[in-house]
Amino acid sequence: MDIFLKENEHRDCFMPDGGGGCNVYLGRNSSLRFFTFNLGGKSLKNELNVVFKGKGARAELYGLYLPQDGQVIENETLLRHQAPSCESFQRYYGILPMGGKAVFNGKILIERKAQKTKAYLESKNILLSPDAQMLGRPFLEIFADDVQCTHGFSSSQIEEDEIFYLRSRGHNLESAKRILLLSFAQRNIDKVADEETKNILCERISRFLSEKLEAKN
Amino acid sequence: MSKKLLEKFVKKDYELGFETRVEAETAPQGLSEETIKFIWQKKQEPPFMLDWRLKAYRYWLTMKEPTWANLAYDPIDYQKIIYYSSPKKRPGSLQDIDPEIRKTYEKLGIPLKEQEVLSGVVAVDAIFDSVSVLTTYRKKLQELGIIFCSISEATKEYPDLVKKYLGSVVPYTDNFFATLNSAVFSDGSFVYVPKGVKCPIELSSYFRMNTPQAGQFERTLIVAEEGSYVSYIEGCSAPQRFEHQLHAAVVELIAKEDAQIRYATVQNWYPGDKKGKGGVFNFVTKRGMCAGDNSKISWTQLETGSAITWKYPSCILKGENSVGEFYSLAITSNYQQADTGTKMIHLGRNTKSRIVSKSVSAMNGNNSFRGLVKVVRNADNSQSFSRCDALLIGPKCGAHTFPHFEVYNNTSRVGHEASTSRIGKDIIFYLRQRGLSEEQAVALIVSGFTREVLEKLPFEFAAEAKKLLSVTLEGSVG
Amino acid sequence: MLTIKNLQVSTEGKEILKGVDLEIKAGQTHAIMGQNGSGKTTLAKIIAGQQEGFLVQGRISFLGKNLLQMEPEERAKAGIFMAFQSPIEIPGLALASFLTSSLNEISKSRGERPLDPMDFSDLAKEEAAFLGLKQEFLARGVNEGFSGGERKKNEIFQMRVLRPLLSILDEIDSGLDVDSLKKVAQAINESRTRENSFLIITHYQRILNYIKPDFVHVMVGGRIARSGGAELALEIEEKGYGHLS
Repeated sequence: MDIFLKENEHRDCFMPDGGGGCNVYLGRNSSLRFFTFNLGGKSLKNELNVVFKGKGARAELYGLYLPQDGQVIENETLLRHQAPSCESFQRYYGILPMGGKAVFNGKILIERKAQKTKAYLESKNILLSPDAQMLGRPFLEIFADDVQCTHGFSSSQIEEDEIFYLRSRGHNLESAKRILLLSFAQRNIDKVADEETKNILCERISRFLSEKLEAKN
Repeated sequence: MSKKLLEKFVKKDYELGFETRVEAETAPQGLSEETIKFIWQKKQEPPFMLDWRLKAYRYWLTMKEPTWANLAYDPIDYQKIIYYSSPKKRPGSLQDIDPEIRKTYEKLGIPLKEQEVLSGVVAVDAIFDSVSVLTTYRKKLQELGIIFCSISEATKEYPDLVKKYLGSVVPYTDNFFATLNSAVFSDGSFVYVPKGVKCPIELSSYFRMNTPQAGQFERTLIVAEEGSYVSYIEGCSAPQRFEHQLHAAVVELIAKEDAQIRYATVQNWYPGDKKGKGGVFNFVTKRGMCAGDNSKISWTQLETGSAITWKYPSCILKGENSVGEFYSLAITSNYQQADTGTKMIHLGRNTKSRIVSKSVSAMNGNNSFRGLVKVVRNADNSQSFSRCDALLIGPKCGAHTFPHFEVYNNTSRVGHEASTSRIGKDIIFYLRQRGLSEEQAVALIVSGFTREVLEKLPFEFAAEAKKLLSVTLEGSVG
Repeated sequence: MLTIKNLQVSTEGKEILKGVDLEIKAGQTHAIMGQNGSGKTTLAKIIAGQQEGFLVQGRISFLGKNLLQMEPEERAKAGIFMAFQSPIEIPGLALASFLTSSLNEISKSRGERPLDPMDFSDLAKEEAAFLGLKQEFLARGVNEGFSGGERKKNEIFQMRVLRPLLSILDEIDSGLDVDSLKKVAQAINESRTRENSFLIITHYQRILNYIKPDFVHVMVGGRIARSGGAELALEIEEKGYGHLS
């Protein structure tokens, strides 16, 4: 799938279910919001390439993946900054409740002419099962100096002190975990403009988590 | 295929002249079992070493040379290389040394006498007025039971130790260049620290009785028994010229329970031409095994990218609670390229790794960091934190980060951050308005940026490292 | 102390300063008022030495020396200080570290002995406390995480430590709330002596309530349209800039 954003155009896009590839070309001052949400199902791969062709373009990429047992969800993003003063913001969150596997390859390439670029990438992953597997490769290639570029990657369990906080407010362990996981996922879901879509997503994730967390026990 | 043919041809040629060649200073060109025998005899090693070397050589013949797309170098003709030459003839006087090297010595503030030593003009024992200083040094080590000698000497004096540990961290089958090294290594250090002993001085190959110059195929082995401590400095901090096209070294570290090893490298560098490359390919396999519980291995390095270097010091964190650290500062200017990184393999529970990689790229310099953090399924509660910071000076340089994370354990915690910063014209002007010259401004910022890594270098290196920094970055702004 | 004669500055073919004459004597405080685009910040930049991209003609002499021929750090060592309009951030360079180096350089050129670390520390703490800046900022990167107002205070803090002969304060009041403005003004007033001078560049008259200038100049379209005493500022406040051109 190829998408071209003209000057000053804004678009919200969703990666099709079941994986796929998408190339987006951003014109001057255009802005893009791209959502890649995967919940269970068959193994799949998402490939997203964003090319900043026009000055002042902006892209926000939100990813959320919850692989089920035996499933591999692979996300590959490549952001090519070719024009100056553009901004990219990526937030890819993973929750692995069982023996699923997630792969995140996020590459940011800032070319020489892309001065004054601001690029931010965060890949945060919560692993809940001893059978879960996470592979991450956040790559940075920078050829310009007047840029602000940061990226982060993390993999951990749910934070102990956050669980404790909820429990001290009366929630039991399972409920605390579910609430925290849901609010974690919510950060990206909230970026979706359409209320109905948001609600559907939240509901699906909630159900998915309940099932999988129960199945574990 | 052609390698085998060439080998046969070469072998035929040498069969005739082999016996008389033993007395020669250098091995005949090319690599064959005869060459291995030649080296073994020259070194006067015990029989078990010949077996070891031949096993490695035969395995090497079955291997294919790896190629890396990013690397720009002339193809290596393995049969054109001379695999052994006896200690170099020392240059007659300081005047015989390459003027570029001399200039750099001056810039680094290394006094004349030391320059002579470091260039091999004067033997190590001669700069110390008497035998006394050097002897006291060795005596001290001997009293503590610490063994520090050349690897060849070790095969003769301490064969059991060598048999036990050589190849235990980097087996002869490990990779193409390590295998080659296993077959033809001719120089290097052996360090053994007994139980509970904390080595009181920084060990450096500088102080080995042999020639201090880096051999072509160096092999270093450091063993720290339970509860011991040793800090080792590789090579000298002064510039050296690489004589040969290929350098393939192997460094193995073994830390047993509660032991600690610190290994520091300030890159032996030769300024090279303005275009950066000196036509040298330096491949080093460095691996530390935290074999015992609570053990710790730290790698600290300063790279300036004037040769093509492939070095990824790694730690295998096997013992419970063991710790692996990697602190690196890479500085490139002109057309230099530095490609460095580390691997931390978490095998045991509660293991920790810490990676701090700082790079400074100026002018057309390029820095790359490659890393791997792997946490296996059974490595419960392990933690890994890494950060890569790049300081970019000028619009033509580059900084790249390629970290890999493989997490197979859910109770572990892995975190990584990378960021870039620059010394822009506006920052320079601000500092100039406060009375600092451009050079001072750059030096101040770079100093703040590099502090965390420089602090980890042994004290002796810190001053040299700072000078190295300023020499490399000279004239890089504007 | 500072004499500017017929200063003309242009960039990319556009004229910004069209012949500025100004004389500042030791012990005097001058204010330059003007709207955006009048050229006042450019004037400050040229005096401080930020001349890249500008074509400069005319003469500026500072303590008898030809200022336009001097490098920025030489001007600083000669005694010029600029409090920037938008001070930049330098994370990774600790303020204490940088300021100590600066102070040492400037002291050296004055033939003074540099302050030892203890004295510097005492001086720094005192000045910081007065301006309402927390102690930790000395160890942090320059202006790291600072708001606009805090950055302005930091500029004045540095001025207090470096004790320059001529301080150019470019819109020092912007970003400051009333309390901070009072503190900053007080710090500036307490710094005024018979030997040093100040050039306050401002858009609004407000700060001049707290720092009484000896002379006020109004810049319009790259020139000083009028000069007068402190009352001129009040006149602008009442009647605006329009009536002058």
